[in-house]
Amino acid sequence: MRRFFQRAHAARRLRCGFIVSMVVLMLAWTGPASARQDPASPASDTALATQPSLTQFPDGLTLVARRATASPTAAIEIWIRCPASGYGAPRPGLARLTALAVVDEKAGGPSLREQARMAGAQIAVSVYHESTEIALLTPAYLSPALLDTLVSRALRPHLDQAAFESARQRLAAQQVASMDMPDQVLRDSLFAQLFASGPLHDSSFGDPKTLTGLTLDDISAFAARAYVPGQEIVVTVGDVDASDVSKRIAAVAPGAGPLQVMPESSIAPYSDTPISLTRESLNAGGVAIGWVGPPIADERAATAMDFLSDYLAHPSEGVVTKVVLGADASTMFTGQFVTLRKPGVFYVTASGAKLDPMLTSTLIRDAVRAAVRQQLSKDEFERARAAFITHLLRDMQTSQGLADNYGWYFAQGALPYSPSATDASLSGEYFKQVASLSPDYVFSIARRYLQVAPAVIILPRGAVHISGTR
Amino acid sequence: MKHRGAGVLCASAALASMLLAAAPAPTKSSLPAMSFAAATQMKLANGVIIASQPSADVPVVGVQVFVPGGLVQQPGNKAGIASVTAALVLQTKVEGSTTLSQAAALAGGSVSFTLDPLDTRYYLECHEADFARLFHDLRVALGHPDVSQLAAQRTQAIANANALTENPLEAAYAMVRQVRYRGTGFALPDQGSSVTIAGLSGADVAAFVASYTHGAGTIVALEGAVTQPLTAAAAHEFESLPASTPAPAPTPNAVVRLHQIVAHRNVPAPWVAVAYEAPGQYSSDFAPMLVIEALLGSGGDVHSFNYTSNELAPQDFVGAYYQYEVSPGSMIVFLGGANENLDQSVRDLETGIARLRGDKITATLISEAKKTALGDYFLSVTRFDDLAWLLGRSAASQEGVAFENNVPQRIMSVKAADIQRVARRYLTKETIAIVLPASAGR
Repeated sequence: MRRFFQRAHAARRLRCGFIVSMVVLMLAWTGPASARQDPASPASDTALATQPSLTQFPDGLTLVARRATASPTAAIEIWIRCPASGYGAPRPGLARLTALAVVDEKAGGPSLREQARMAGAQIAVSVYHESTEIALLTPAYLSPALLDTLVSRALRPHLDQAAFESARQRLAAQQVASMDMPDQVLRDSLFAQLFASGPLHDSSFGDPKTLTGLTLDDISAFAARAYVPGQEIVVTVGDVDASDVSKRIAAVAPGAGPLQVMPESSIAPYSDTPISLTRESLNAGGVAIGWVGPPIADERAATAMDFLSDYLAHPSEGVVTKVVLGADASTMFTGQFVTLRKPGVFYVTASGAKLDPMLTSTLIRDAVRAAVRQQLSKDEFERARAAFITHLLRDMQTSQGLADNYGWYFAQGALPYSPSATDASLSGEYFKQVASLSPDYVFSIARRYLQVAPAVIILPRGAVHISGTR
Repeated sequence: MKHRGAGVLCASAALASMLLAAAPAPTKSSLPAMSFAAATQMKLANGVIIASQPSADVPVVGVQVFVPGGLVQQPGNKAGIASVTAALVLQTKVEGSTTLSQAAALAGGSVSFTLDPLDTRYYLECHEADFARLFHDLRVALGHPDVSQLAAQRTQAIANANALTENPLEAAYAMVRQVRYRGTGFALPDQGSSVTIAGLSGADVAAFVASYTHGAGTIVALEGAVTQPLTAAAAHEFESLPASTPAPAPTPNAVVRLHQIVAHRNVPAPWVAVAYEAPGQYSSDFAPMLVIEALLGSGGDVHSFNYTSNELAPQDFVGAYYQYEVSPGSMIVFLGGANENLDQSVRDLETGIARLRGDKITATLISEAKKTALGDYFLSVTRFDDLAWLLGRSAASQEGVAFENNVPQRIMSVKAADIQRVARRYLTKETIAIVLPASAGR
């Protein structure tokens, strides 16, 4: 299961939004009055089925359109299955730079980012090791127009130098910001330790040196290979008309392009000897611990790992979470099983100003060992499974939550297995797998994957270079 | 525009727009069609309002219970009583030795509280199958919070108070409220102070519980997989509340002059909060002020500074913050933190305010601000907790649940003259709160 790591960026986005707004307010009074009309594109009022509509276009593009009526908003997302570090020799940050250029490309008018802002919508770019997401959250009545804009700009992008320069500045700022986030640093370092090569090895933010060497030709070439219909999905969830969405996309869908093979990420030989980061640390100590898990193709095992992840590392109720927060309530603790093609990864991170990395590492590993030492009783298993299902459903209460799950599982080649591919009666492959779990099966998975030595990363507290250069 | 469904509750649902609306009825020109899911409301004989907005996307129910005892109603020497009482409610044993909080968590749900100016909100979210049981638990705990936990909660509250006092944004917000809400509990820190909290007794908790235990002012707002039986169960839980009305909330003393307040904190760079009076959410000036907020650049929604059981205080907030859940409301613009040219930012703000009060704002700018305000309005309510909050606020309005769909129409109807009028009326007599680094020489 995938969770989200975007909250840390929220304050920064708000700050930027305010500055932009004040600049507009300061400059725009002297401009000519305009007769621009208010948004007046009525959304369809047609009654629609709540079942998702899945369409595969002749060019290979996939569309999921699902009606959700809780709020008059819509999530419109494009996911591209592609390696974050590119197809050839690794160039970390390449996919992120490309996606940022896509949303900053003006194409003779306002960029996608500007159009979203002017319309009162929100736009987000998320880049993962093996996928890129460009997402709009919009009032539902704007969704047809913004859908047109998004697909025309992002399905088959054409990038220019201005977009490249803008994206490069944004990525440089993001690289700096990411270094301020201990859990991000720890997670990236852990994946670099678990995987010797391939897209899972490198941070999606890349590094300043690689960024300096990237050019417009690089991102254009990458976009030409990655942004092809067979590797893309459009997901719309919310108060939207599925048939209208399908027609609109059919009208603008680009021609087919050759499919690319996702580079493999090979597992590194690692031990549980802690690896200390040699970079100067933040004002926090931290630890990351990771175990390689089953691939997504083994759906039952992957579901069992999701269950274990929830049982161990739920943000407030996980048994390991409680141990870590019980020792120091100010610790930032995260944990999840990341469902991937091959293989998945269960990891936890802990960081904090007062945190002792080595002690916390021992605390976490002992807590995991204790939790998986024996099979859960039937009663406790049934309670934990019911809680797990409720946690899943609560995460899916928004259009964004539903849409994100479709996108992620598409990118991993398992769209039907997406938890979102269900209804209120919990049909669908994912929840069938949840129903099939048993205490002994979950225990067997825990023994297989969590009772082996994990990779351990330590972020020393304070301004210390472990390498001894200082 | 969709029609609100003839729901399962006949009720006094559409108190609606035919009644004496505080705001003008929306026009129906070429405005975009948009609406929240169909909602209904009913009023029990004792005055409790039950509002319901079903959606069939996931089998999860979210419910906000508003009780008419919030920050404003706290006695001056009892600051912190609202948060301590709410914390005790969550820690009340409801199923054997299991507390309310634990009972919800064991089922994969959650229960939390939020202190608003005029009420305390309790939010329960859970699987539909667990709703009736957990909602009953919540209602029992609300009426009889477990005061045996008082000492522990006082200790926790004092720790929270000390931590919040160090937060520069909270400090600035508290200074603004101290000036603008003098004479009410809202002038006091959300979390109380170590002195007032240490003095809280079981009798104080009982008195605060008694102050909010009334039918009038209590609202139950349900979202998600809400069915007629679940709504009926929710109504049943609250039908035994006394048919009485809480004491009128105190009103703040008028702000008659400019104020500037300075405090020092351990921060690397100064923060400034510039505050003005603003209309409350049921005022006819609400929509124009939402557009003004968009023109100024919103830093976050009305919940950004809420004191809650499950969210941390903001560490970084730059931009306008519109507190409209109290009347009069406040428009507060936060500047600073990492902003190195703070003086220039303050000057820019003053220039901007002056121009809002003038007549040189272009139609283009107003059009874009209206879209932004509309977007902010819709996109700030996508989760059940926010949807239930808005539903409850709407149900309490003179228009009833129709309110939530009328606000967007009013935003789109805002004209340049409205902005100028509202700016001239409210954006004067500012209060400036300055938080300076504590280090010597700065």
